[in-house]
Amino acid sequence: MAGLIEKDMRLILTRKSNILIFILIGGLVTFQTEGIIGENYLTLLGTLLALSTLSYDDADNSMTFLMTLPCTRKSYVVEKYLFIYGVSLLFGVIGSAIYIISLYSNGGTLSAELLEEMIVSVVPVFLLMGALLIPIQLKYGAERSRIAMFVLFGVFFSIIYLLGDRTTIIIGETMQKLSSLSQAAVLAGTCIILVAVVLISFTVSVHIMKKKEL
Amino acid sequence: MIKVKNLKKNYSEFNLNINLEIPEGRITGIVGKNGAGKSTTIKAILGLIEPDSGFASILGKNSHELSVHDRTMIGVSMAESGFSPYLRISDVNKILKKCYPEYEEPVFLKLCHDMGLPLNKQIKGLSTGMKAKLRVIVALTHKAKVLVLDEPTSGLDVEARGEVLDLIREYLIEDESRSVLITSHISSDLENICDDIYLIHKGEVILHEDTDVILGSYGVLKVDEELYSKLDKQYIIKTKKEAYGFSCFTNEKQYYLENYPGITIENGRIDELILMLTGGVK
Repeated sequence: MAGLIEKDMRLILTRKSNILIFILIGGLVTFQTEGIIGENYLTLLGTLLALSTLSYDDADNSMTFLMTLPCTRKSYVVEKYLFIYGVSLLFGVIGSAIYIISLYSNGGTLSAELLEEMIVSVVPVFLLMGALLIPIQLKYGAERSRIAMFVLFGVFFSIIYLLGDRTTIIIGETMQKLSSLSQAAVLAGTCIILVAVVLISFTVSVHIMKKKEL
Repeated sequence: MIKVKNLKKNYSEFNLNINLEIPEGRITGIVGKNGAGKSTTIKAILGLIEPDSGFASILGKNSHELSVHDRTMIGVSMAESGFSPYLRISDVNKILKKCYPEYEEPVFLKLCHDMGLPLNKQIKGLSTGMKAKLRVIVALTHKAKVLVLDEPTSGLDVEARGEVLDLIREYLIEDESRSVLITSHISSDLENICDDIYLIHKGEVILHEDTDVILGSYGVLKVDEELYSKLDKQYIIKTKKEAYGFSCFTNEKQYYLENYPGITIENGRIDELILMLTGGVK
């Protein structure tokens, strides 16, 4: 697995000048808006950058050769999840650090609520993105996974459209029920759901990789 | 070292049905026309595809049950697959260092230098020949017990092919218990290096013979119609109609040399083997 991580790191570093520009833009956005949008932007970028290693592996038949290296198909999947979430977290930390610097440079302070907002606005997003996109890319490859994503979002928004006003009612009722619960319960529930989603995604990904003909 | 038993895989173009065995310390070649099933056989041996029936094993283990440690003992060069072309050769060096406990970095760097491979160049910027050399170097530099090389000399000029084949020979001299499986459609490469040859045609093994026997006992008789009518055909494997008469493929050329003085016999080469066995009439 160390070899696979090394490979993915080096693939990402082929775009180091792009990464520096992204961080610069994230920093500028953070200082301009004085909000956490810069942090969100950088985390999202980090996730997409890490996900691109799947495209690199898929291109030019590289995957065939990679599976002859000292790894199993399961360890390949494990590495992908660890790497993608690790890089997302790293970019999230960089984005957070930039935001905290901008906060203090404007005379603000970091409260517990703000820190919680920073974490909650970022962690579930990259966890869910990875959980959704990794198995899709493994199954369909880079090109076809974009089409699969369009279809998925199309189905999702079609359901919202068909439900019409009932969507607002459902969301309202859910928010009402959640507000009656304690913060700790909501947090615990969210964590359990996120962990469950990631585990299901991982299981599906391992199954896809094991069945893949190379 | 490598065993393939009743391995079957069905495709729309052909059905693979293979039996082969490569013992320790042997260099075995697989030859055949394009689309014969050479690369598919390699993929089955490496566990990259799932057979419909039968099995393939390498290092005594089922190809689909190879552990990470098992794979450190296999060196692979695939014809149309390698590291991402966006990586540089220096990146490949670092990656291999993390992949293989027995990786020989000084050997890798020396071979790259000797073969003229620039370390700071991306793989996509290398010529076809340089990419082929890199693939072979990657397979050879971690003390693998088994080498599986799919078209290792493809795209190389005559001199470079010789260099790569020398590398493989030296690799085997270092440790005579190592085994090599090579596929190629460049028959002369295999004649120089392989102990035995499997000829695959339309997904099946139609010949398995020691290289010495192919070169020593096989031959092509070139006879006119009159001589053909009198010829003892018990050792004729395949016949092909020609403008001058017939060309007859035999595995007992010495018999014809002794019994038909003056008969024209071409020495058996793997190219003739492929052409006659896959095209002639029995």
